[in-house]
Amino acid sequence: MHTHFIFLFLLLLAISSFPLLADNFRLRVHTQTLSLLTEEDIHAEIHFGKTVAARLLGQYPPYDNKALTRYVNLVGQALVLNSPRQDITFHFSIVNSNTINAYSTPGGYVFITTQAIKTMQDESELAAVLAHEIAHITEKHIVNEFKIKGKDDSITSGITRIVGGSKDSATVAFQNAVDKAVDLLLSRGFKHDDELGSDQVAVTLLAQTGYDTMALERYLRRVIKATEEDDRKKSNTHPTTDLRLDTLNEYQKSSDLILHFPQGKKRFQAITSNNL
Amino acid sequence: MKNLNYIVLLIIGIINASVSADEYHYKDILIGDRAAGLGGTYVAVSDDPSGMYYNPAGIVYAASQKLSASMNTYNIRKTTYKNALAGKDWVRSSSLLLPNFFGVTQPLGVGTFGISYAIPDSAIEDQDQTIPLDISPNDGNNATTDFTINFNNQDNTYNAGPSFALKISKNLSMGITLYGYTRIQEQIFNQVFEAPLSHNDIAAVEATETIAAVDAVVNTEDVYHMENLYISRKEYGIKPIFGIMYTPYEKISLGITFSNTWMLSNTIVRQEVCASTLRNINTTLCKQGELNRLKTEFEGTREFPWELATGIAYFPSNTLMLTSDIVIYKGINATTKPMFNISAGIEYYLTKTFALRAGGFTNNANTPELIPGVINRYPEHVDLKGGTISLSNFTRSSSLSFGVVLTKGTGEAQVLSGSPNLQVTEILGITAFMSASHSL
Amino acid sequence: MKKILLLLSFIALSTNAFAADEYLYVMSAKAKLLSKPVFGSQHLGLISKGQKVITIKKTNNWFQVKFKGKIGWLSRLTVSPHPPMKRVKVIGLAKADISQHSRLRASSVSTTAAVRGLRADNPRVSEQVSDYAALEKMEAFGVSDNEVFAFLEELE
Repeated sequence: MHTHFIFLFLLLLAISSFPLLADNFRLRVHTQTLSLLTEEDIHAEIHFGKTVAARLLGQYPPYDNKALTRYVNLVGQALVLNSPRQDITFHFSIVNSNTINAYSTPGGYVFITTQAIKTMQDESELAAVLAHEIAHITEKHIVNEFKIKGKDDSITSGITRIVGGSKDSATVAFQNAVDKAVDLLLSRGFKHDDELGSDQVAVTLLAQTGYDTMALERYLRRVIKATEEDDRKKSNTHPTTDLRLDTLNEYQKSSDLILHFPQGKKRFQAITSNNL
Repeated sequence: MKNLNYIVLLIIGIINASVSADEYHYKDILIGDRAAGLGGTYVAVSDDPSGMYYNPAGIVYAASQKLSASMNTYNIRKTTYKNALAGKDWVRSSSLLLPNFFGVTQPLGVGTFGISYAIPDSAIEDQDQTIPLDISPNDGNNATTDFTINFNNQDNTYNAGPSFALKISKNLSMGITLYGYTRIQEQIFNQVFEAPLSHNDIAAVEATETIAAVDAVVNTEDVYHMENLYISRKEYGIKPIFGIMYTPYEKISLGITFSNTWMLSNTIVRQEVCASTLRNINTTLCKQGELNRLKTEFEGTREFPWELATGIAYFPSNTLMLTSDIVIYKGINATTKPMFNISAGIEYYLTKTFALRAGGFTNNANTPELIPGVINRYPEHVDLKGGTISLSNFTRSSSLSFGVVLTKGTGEAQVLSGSPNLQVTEILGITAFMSASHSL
Repeated sequence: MKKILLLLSFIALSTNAFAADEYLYVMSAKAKLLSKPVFGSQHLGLISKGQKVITIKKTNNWFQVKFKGKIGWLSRLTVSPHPPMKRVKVIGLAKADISQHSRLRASSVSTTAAVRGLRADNPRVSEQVSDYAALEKMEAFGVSDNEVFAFLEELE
């Protein structure tokens, strides 16, 4: 009698310990290959990011100052070393512009305007802005939006193209996507969810690197003030700042990410006062 | 003597053009690579562009939301009417290379939108058959002649239109496909018979016991019969498909679809010509020694049976899937019977990138069983059974499938118009298909 | 018979338990293993990129893991279920590539302009100029990992 119960119990336990798949049970095993990243994909991402980056540089000339560029690169690379993407090389550049902004393109290209640095008061704020831009890259917002993928050169996909009668319009599609990405960065802006997501990744990166996690909020509040007098139209590349601050606040509270780590104020002020 | 009897039948009851029409079966061409591999069992699966044809509610479950799929088939179909013509088989065959499906889906707002195009029924027959007939009477004189049939038939049914599907809750989705229905048929059918019979032959025949039969045949030296038929048919309508997909338990999916075709217009033009020297031939068209023409135009609509399909699919793991469907078709009127088809399929992934599928299905005739001794309104009844097997290869963004569909069945037909004789009829169909899909 | 069933259910159970053993790979250059799922908690050691750890528990932002006998917490952004890929470097665009792009630019711009319907208030996008020289300069600028670690050490 006892063995019966033990047997039943064990069987139930065995069954119940199968991983529950919720409603994705329809997905067949081949779809696992969909999410696999190949080296070709990263090549495609870098190639795409470079092309967009060159456009941005054509728009905003780089600010040629070695010391400041080195400083921005050190802060940026410190965050990168603590980021989950070690498969690409990040590059940081300061661009000359009177607008407060920062951009990033896939493949690891991050830009920050001189005006943005002028608005900052310490290194953790610089780190916060760079971390936000790094997050767009690590979370692949543009890559996903424009479906940047490596070419599938397998025989099967070759035959598929013939059977399906699809033309190889890759080059046109590429240029088209580059145009759209530039448009996204310069005027349309990211999806709100992407922006809010980047904020959350940014504060986590700050914490992982050892910077004050309140820096992003501090910087954003200052930017509101600075642009309020201007004209808040500009913020069409970023979500309504109030919503953004509320979401960020909530996230930091719920995730124990209110960490008053170092701000690097001295170092920041010494370098910027001499080089801006 | 035997042969002459056949000639009598042959001449009086020349071949009935309405045998083996497409509309006697509902599942002649399987749509969609995965669906075709599963024997057309897809009502509870339906999660790719071909789902728009089987159950539009399923497209919300597509692994990749933006998908395109296309399918090409090479189809051979052979229908053999045993001993139909003077003891000889009449064989009709159709072969066609057909791009029979194209579809794309993509997310739109809260749901998934798609457009698809399907050819669920198609025949291209091209026949030039000369049947040598030995009509020697028993007098020892040899007399042979030919019966020539030229037959060309192109009959295609097209469905094209948009679909939209919505996830109502975590385990329920609904979808609709609104197909435009078009059927275009053109048929040319020539039958020529010429018998170089001499008076001597006839006299010899007359000496035998079947004088009446010979009488019916000839009394001139040279006998011929020629009949020509041209049919052009254009049908237009709409075919909405409503679908529901429900997940009662994890790993189980249920699908239900309801569809019907409403014909909005139908034009049939029939032109017939008959010239005959047969003595006592007396039909509306054919009279001895006359050349007659008849042109009829018909406009009107016909009723289609609604279809109710239900399916169940079981996904025990991410490499194995079993599914089964039952499709019920309403009878249209007293003469077309309600009937159903069942099918089942299995899918197994040999590796992460290769999937093997197999299925079985019935493709029953919607015509009633033929009643011997009378002339039946629908002159053919052949229930078919089919089996399929396919292999798919997946890459990250595309898949390619090859497969074969085999259909076979034996039934009865009344090939000769005006004759109640039944012929054993065998249908054999082989379809090879190749299809491709892309995630965009 | 009963014994066989018992054995079978044991096997089922043990294979499940085995299947549930999930690994994570460290993605960041050096991940800090912490004693609690809180930044600033006691530091148990550094795990370098590519190392495999056994997952014990998962929360929204933290993974409790076992590594070389030590049990501790890793921040979610430092790990991934897939092993890290080698660093991919694409230095410069091939010359042909660039010239192809410059040739393509005019037509592609007109194509996209037609498709997208360019907005009058943002004519800049249509008149894009690419600065590949500045890009090369940007790529050429680099700092070593050691410089970065030293830089972080001095953060106050």
